[in-house]
Amino acid sequence: MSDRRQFIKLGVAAVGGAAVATAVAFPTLGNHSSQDSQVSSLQSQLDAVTSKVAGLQSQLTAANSQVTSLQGQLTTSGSQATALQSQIDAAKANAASLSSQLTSAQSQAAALQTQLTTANGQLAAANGQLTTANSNVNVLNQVASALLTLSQKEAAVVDAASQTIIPTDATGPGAKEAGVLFFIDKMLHGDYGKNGNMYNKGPFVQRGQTGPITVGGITYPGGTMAGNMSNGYGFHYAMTIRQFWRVGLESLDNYALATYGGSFASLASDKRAQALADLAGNKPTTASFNGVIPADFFFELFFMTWSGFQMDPMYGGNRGMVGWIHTAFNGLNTGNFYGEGLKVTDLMVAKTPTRLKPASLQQFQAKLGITGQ
Amino acid sequence: MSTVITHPAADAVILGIGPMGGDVSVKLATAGIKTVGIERGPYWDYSLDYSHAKYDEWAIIYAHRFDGPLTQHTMTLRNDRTQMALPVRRYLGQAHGHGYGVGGATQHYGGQMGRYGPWVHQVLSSTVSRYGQAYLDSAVPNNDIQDWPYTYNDLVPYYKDWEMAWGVNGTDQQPFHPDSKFPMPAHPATPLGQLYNDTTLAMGYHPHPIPTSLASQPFVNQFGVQVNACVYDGWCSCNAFPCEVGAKANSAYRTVPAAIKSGNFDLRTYSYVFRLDTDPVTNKVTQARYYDAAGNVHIQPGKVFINAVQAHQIIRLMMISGIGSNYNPVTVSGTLGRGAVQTGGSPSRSATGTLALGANAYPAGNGQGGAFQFLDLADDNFDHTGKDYIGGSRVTVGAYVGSGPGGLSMAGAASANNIGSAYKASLKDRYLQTTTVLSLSPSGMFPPRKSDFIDLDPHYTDMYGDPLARQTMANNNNGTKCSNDQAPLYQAILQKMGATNITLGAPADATKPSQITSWSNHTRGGLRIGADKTLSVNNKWGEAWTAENLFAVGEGLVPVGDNTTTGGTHPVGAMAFLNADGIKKYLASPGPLV
Repeated sequence: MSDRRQFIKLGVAAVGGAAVATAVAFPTLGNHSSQDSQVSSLQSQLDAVTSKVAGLQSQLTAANSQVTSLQGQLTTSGSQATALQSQIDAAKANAASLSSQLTSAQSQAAALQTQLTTANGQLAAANGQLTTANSNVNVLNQVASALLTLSQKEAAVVDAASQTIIPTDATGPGAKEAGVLFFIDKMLHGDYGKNGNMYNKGPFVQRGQTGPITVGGITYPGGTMAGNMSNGYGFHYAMTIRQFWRVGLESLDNYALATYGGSFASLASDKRAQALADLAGNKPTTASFNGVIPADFFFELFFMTWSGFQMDPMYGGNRGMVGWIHTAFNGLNTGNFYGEGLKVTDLMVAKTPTRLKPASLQQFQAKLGITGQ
Repeated sequence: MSTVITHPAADAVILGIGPMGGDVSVKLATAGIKTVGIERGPYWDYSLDYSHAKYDEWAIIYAHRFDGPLTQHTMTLRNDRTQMALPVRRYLGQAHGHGYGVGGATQHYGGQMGRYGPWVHQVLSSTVSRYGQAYLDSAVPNNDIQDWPYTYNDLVPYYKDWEMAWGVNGTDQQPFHPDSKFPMPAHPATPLGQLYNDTTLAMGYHPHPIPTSLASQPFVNQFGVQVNACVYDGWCSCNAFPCEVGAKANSAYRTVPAAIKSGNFDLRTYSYVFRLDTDPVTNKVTQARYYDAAGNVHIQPGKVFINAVQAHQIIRLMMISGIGSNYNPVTVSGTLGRGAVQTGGSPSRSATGTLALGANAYPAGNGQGGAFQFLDLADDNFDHTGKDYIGGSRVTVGAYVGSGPGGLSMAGAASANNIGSAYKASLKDRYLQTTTVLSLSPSGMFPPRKSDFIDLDPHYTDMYGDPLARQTMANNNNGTKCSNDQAPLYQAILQKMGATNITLGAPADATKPSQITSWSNHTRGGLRIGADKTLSVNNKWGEAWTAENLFAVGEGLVPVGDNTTTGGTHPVGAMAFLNADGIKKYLASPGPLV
């Protein structure tokens, strides 16, 4: 811009210089006759000069016009230049502000980068822990799902029988989801299977005998009381409960094959239910069950299946507390386990029921600080 | 190697520190009597043993982790003398586990209380005088009923003393039990209990809250023992649940602490008494022998011995020690083991209806509180003319309903009909009770008969080789006849309560006795007190007729009890305090007290 304004000033100076040069070139006067000719000549010269002056005047006018025009253009340009300068100033101010912001942002970015680096480090550590934890969970799952005492063949019968007694159906998860198989396996491996806390001395005489029977030299015309399996008088087998299950499961499988044409687990669910009902009704003979009364074995199957659905998850069944959710049982939650703020003294006299989210023994003991860690 | 360890003689030796042995200990020790207590189990600490574990239904109800191990001993059962008795091998379905440890079976009972009414003390004389001997013999064929050697009024001071010790709560039981104001207030009523109370009151009955020994408030008893109040967190039924705050009354947390504090009580846990040795000349007991956990034999001499083990085991211990005359059911002679009865459970008739009343069926409240009952249809509180049964019934309604999933009767539901989705669906949201199906089943009295008794089993032995106790007992039909007669009266109550779908069951079969296939938590008799030494084992103080320095406590002493009016612990508690007075009398002046 400044270059262009310089160029316009130089142009004006060139026109003024030409006019001065013309005046300096005027000739001085001589004799008259000759003056006439001289006059004529002078006139001619004057005319020429006049003409030249006119020409110059015309050129001057044109030049002036150009100057005026240029002056106008210059004014316009100046105005534009002012406006542009204002814009430039504003832009510069913006630039300064942006520069300041940039500096600040760069500083923040540096801080964030540091944090990100730290966070990434933590994430990597957490991922490592998660991997370890997942691995542990997998191990635990394998342990929880591993069979302690049941054979693969026995497990198939237990699994099928428990899922027949408590199916997975429209009302929700059943024995399968609850892991009833693993509850039964775990119990058979422990005190239950080993007759812990039971009276195990002989002689072993079966209940419900019509008599007469002779035991230890004493004859009893009345035989023995019938009773049933559902109370403490029920079990009179000369074997552990683990062995009782072994005999029962094998016998059930054999019965299924002989009567329904396939191993128990291979039968359709209605046939499996029918086979279990046969046991409950003592349809198979005791002899075919190797001395076990079939209804006695059905009792244990039923009892232990429902126990696996309803006892605390720490025993291997009722996984995810699905059994408790089914029955709306509360477990260890008496109204405020999860901070519900309900009072047990209100719940115990309520006229309308309140569903509570169940809590397990593990959760309860963890609250007491019993974690095993 | 087991060795024999002989201890210095004690003034008093208590065998078994259950509810009654423990209660006697405080009376003796605080009177300055040097007392030794021999207990087969531990001394449970309720806060450390129960607080984290009592909610474990599998361990408590099915594995009976706090109960007497059946490996140690059990009992055998049969209905009559023609049968071979078989042992109870397993904990399953029993109302109670056997006691184990200080406090015994009351560590895990329901805490139901209630005195025996005046009639119970004089069932024989009262029935014969009011209705005639023929009535009694028809109502209870082969009956073996004897009057108590003392009256209700004689026992009232002991009732009051014992009710303070255990903190019995409820309102008095007028008009049928005179002078029966209890020291503690009743537990909060349930809506159902309140409805039963209001309805039966309007019908002219005399309802009251069920008495319990589950502390309704904190208190300090007369022995200076501090007691915590019930926290109402459920898991309290009588099957096996102990109490984590000690609110469920038993000697371990009411009386034994004061006995120990006196400095005169030497408690020996994990000690299994197996013999009482007697002097052949004087017939007095000279020493008790017991095993410790290592199998060593200990000998404990003493001046007086108090047999306080479980009822069947008291009889067994006396029999294997050769003390007393064993009952012979053929000749109907002898007294030891005679007149044994149990809580009942004879077939009954029910009236059932549905009430528009919801409830939470999961654990909350406690085992027995919140309920109401009336005694107008019990004992001889109504005219029995033409009834053909003695005693009556009491139906308790409105106890806190909560129970664990074992209460779903998983075991009892085992049948072909319950395989699969339909039964599963019937248990969906089972714990959210939107209506109440109320079944009222009057259960009648179980009087003693000549055919029911306890002796030694000829086949089965305990873990040390001594014979087990054998129970020969069948339900008699007195209770069934009562139930058949009274069920319509309960049907009328259901109608007044506003129930719908009311049904009255058909009369139960009263023509034949039913089986008893589970031991009872309240076996009574077999060690009866009485005025006639040919009909009873002990005199009124619980002192054996055949060994002057051997006393017994517990339900075995009860000549006739009415299972329909109380859980049974309450009267026996009062009797134990009475017996303690006898023991003190004996030590002050040795010799037969009667």
